[in-house]
Formats: sequence, structure tokens, C-alpha cells
Amino acid sequence: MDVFINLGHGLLSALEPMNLGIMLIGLAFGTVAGALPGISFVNAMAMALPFTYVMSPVAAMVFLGGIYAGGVFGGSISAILINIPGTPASLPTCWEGYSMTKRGEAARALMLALLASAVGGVASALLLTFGAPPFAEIALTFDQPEFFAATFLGLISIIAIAKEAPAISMVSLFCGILIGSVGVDPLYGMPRLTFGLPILQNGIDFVVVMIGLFAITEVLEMLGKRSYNQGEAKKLRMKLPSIKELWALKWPALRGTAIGCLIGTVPGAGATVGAVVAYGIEKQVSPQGKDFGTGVAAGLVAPEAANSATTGAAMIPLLTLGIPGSAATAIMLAALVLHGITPGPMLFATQTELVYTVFASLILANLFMIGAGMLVARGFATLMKVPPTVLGAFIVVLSVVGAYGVRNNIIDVYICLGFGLLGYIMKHFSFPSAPLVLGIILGPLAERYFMTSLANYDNDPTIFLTRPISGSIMAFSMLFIVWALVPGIGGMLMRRFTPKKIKNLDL
Amino acid sequence: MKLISNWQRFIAPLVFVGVALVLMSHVVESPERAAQVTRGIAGPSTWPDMMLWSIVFFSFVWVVQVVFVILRSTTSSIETINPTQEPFSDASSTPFSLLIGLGVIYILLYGYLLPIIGFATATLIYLISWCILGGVRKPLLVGLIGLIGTTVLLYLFVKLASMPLDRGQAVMGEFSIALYRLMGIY
Repeated sequence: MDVFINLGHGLLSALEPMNLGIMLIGLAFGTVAGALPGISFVNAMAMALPFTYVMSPVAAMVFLGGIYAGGVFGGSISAILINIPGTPASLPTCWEGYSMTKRGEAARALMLALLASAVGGVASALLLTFGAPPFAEIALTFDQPEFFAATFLGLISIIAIAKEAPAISMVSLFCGILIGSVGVDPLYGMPRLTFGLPILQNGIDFVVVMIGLFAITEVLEMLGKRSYNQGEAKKLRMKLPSIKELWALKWPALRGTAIGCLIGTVPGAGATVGAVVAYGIEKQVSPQGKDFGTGVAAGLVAPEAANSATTGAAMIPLLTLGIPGSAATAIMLAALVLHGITPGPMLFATQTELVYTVFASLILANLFMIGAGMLVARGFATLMKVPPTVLGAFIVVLSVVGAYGVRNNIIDVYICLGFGLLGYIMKHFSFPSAPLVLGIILGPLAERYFMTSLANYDNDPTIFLTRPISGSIMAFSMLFIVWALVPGIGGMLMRRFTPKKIKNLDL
Repeated sequence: MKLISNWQRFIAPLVFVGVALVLMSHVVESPERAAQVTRGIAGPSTWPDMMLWSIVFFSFVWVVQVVFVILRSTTSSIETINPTQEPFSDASSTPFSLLIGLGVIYILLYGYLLPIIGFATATLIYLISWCILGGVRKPLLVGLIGLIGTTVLLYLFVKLASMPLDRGQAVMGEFSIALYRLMGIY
């Protein structure tokens, strides 16, 4: 009962004009930053951190929470409209969202993504409010092997996504992980795969690769075709989908939300793992699974709900244990510490108003995000009214600035442009680029957890299987691989050993 | 569907195998030093080596898959050969053309010129030349796109985001600073 009373007080505090205004500014800023390639919501939160010095602790957390919630969705706007994921977590959104845009359903895709994000975000904020302590106890039992197992699950999700061509996709994935390992190694500080070139010592940032592979490749495609699907963009009218359509998508949204909430509580896993795993599982369980990649709404809704659901869940270990599970929550921790507040079990007792105002504002932010997202999406869509040539020119400039902005280094621009050309070649030869990007994003994380696990547990590789939680996640991963591949293998064997006559009849 | 002969289908996986095998001896500059540091336990090259062996393994699976598909095609003339199916439906439908080739050169030139003549000048030139390449023929429109576009981008990234974008070398650096002062963003 106390929780409801505290939440009521939190809602009143969050609805105070000052706090509400700050939250809306944060939401708008986060959504715009998330939509711009190369400027992720983490960058936006880092940029906003100095402004929180002059705010009260409540206002600071409300502001950063608004940017966080808005930014996670913002990445999906550019993913849906121009096939450029604004944030790594929007990668699966490209696969279905952009296909819907090409089919002339950009407004529908944006609206579904927005509503799914709101559902996921509100659900995770409620989970944060009511379930933080028990979840925190589970999160406390997690160590490096569990973090590795969760990241491994994210990586192997690609099997389900690319089960029609698993071997090629795995080659692409491992190439991505290999590229992610270029540079100084995280444990021994020894340069790897640098070939004596100092420019490679800092490694290859995944944002740079992502911008190159998606944005530059898309621009070259647009230049070649000299057209893109403008019809929908010119009259982008955002309207709520029918209740019937939304009801039909309730299970993908719920599954995505549940997966996002679970993965969000795992420190280090984050929104990208949540979105990719949700997409992979949805592809397996959805009756339209075989059509994924052609613009299936369920494939858009599940990862969107999942990546937003990680926002509230990621704050559970932060607020209850003081452990930031992601870069975004680390910035929030910094803001709290700057105001002399130490997160941890005592926070709920000593700063009750602050905690519940943060919970309430996160719920409100996800609801207000529908309006903010519609406005930003509409503004972004006006960009698409311009001819494809002009749009392409600006995408290249934004990509260059985005790549440069990662480390303020011109070398990143060259790497970005290089990967852009590579992406075009890969596309030309039907070599999938998405597993490569996923490998570059999650590979360094997986390596760090793998190596530190071995270092902490006497170099024993069985540690990933013998610990109960990591062993369970690894077992689930194996089951997932079998689940994804067996129908394909079975199908191939069936075709191989089916008499020719029947085979021809099938055709 | 791309019309390529059976033997050509083996090129890509075999190239991956070859490159992976070559890279195995170049993961760290000094394997002896790495071995000394790690003393037999997992070291700096462990993870990249695992990835390289995985690439080799799955490239062989890819080869087997190609063999399987070719064998299948010989038993049924109706079935089509398509070992590189498109899992993400992102296969290019745009053939490589002179226009795309020029586009590639333009993009690379833009990247090359950025640190030399500065972001402002390089972006202006790039925007104008890309529009002309893309078929925008009205000089006034092209000029306005270049000027307004560059101005908005400068305000957005230099003034608002405070990004230290390249200003160029020597006289171009001074020109960029003068321009920034004129725009009130320096």
C-alpha cells in the first residue's frame, strides 16, 4: 500500500510545472538526438550532464530520464524512414520498419513502433516501481560468466534471424566480432590486428561502422536508383492504428516487453541485446516468421517494445544496488553522485520522494513520448520531401559528422566511408551486413566478459556451464539454436530425400 | 538471380578461409611476448583466434552448403540454385553504374578534403557537386541548397553541439575561423 501512496506523491511531484517542463525538454532532446545518426541518447545524456549541476536532484533525474526514454525510441525514426539506425538498439527496427516504408507504410510503422515503445517503457517503469527489490537480489547474483552468457544469447539470436543462410550469416557475424577485437586488448593492453598501424590501436568503433554500412550504402543505392519511396513520406499522416490491429499485436508487444525487462536487469546486456533477442524469438514463434524481413508488423513491435523495456529495468540495479548496468545509467549515477546522493538499498528509505518521482516521471515520459515521437517523426519526415539526391547529400554529411563526433578523429570518417563502400559491395553480392554489425556491437562486450570470467575463475572454460544462472542461459541459447535450425535442416533433408515427382508437384 | 557458374560459388568462402588463415599469424605483433605474458592461459590472441577458427569452420560449412545445392540442382532441373539467399532482404537491385562510381569518388574526395580545406568549404563544395551529379540542374536551387545546408549544419554542430570539426590547414583554417566569426559561432 505504501508503494501506491509513494507513487501518488511521486506523480504529483513529477507533474509540477517545473519538473514536467524539464522532462518534456529532455524527451524532445533525446528523441531528436536518437534520430540523428551518430548522436546516440548516451551522447545526448553526456552532453546534458553539465546542465544538471544547476538543477535539483529530482529535476536532474527527471531530465536525464526523459532523454533516456526519448532517445531509445528516437533511433527508430531514422531506422524506419531512411534505413539508418539512430542507435544500435534500433538495428532490428530497420529490418522490418524500413521494409514497411518501402511498401508505403512509413506512418503505420512509426506509429506501431511508437506505441510498442510506450508499452515497453511503461511496463518496465511499473516493474521498476513494484519489483525493484526482488529483481535487484537476482541481479546481485550475476557475475562475469552470467554477463557473458547474456551477451552470447544476443549474438546467437542471429541464427534465428538468418536461418535461411546460417553459414554465411555466421561468417559475417564472426567477421564482425573479429573487427570488434581490433585494437588494444582489454586485459593485457596488447595491440591486436593493428599491423603496426597506430590508427588502429584505438580499435574500430561500432557506431562508425554502423553509420558507414547503413547510411553510405543507402545513399549509393539512392543515387543508383535516383528515387526512393517518396509517396508515403510526402503525406506522412500519423494516426492511431485501429484497436483490432493493436489487439492482434498484443503478444509480440508483451513478449518483447518481457524479454526487454528481463535483459534490462542484466548489467551490461542493454537495449541492443534486448531488441535482437526479442526479434529472434519473435521470428521463431510468430506464424509470419518466414516473412520476417519483408515488413511484418510483429517483427517491428517486438524489438521496439524490448528496447524501451530495458530503460526502466536497467535502472533497477542502479537505484537498488548502485550498479550502473549501461552507459546511460552510469551517467545517471554520475548525476546522483554530483548531488551528493549515493544509490543503494538505503536510497528508498532516505530519498523516498526522489525515488518515486523518478519512477513516476519515467512512466509519464513513456506516455508523453507518443506525442513527442509523433512531432519529431513528422519533422523528420519533412526531410524526405526533398529529392533523393539532395537528401542523400545531407545523409553523407550527417554520417561524416556522426563518425567524426565519436572520437573527434578524421580517421573514423575514413573508416566510416570505407565500410560504406564495403556495405555496397556486400549488398551487391547478397552478403548480409546485419550480423557483421551485431558482431561489432556485441563482440567487444562478449570478449571482455569472456576474458574476465576466465581470469577470475582459474582459466576454467566450464565456468559458463557450471554456474546455475549462466549455465541456464547457455542451455537456453543452445535450445534456441536447435529450435531455430532444426526445421530448416529437417526441411532440407525432406526435400533431399523426397521423390522427384512429389518435389515437382510441390513446386 | 545472379547468373554465376558453379565454381565461382566457391570463391567467396575459400577467400574467407584463406584470409583467416593468413590473419592467424598476424593477430599480435609478437606472439612470443604474448605467450610470455599469459604463460599458457587465455591471452590477448585467444579471442581473435577463436573468431578466426570460427570463420574457417563456417566457411567450410558454406562450401558444403554450396556442394549440397549444386548436387540438388543436378537431380532436379526445376529447382533453382541460390545458396546465398537473402536473409535480410537487403540484396541490391541497383546495378553498379558510372553514376555510382562517381558517387563513390565524390564521397571519398569529400572525406579527403575535409581536413585540408575545412568542414565548411568541403561541405559547401560537396553539397553543390553532389546535387549536380544527382541531376539537379537549376543553378539557383543548387546554390541555395549548398549555402543554406552548410549554414544550418554549421550552426547545429559547431554552435549547438560544440563539435571541434576540422577547420582546414593554413589559409583555409584562417578562412574557416573568419567565417565562424562572421556567423557568430566562434
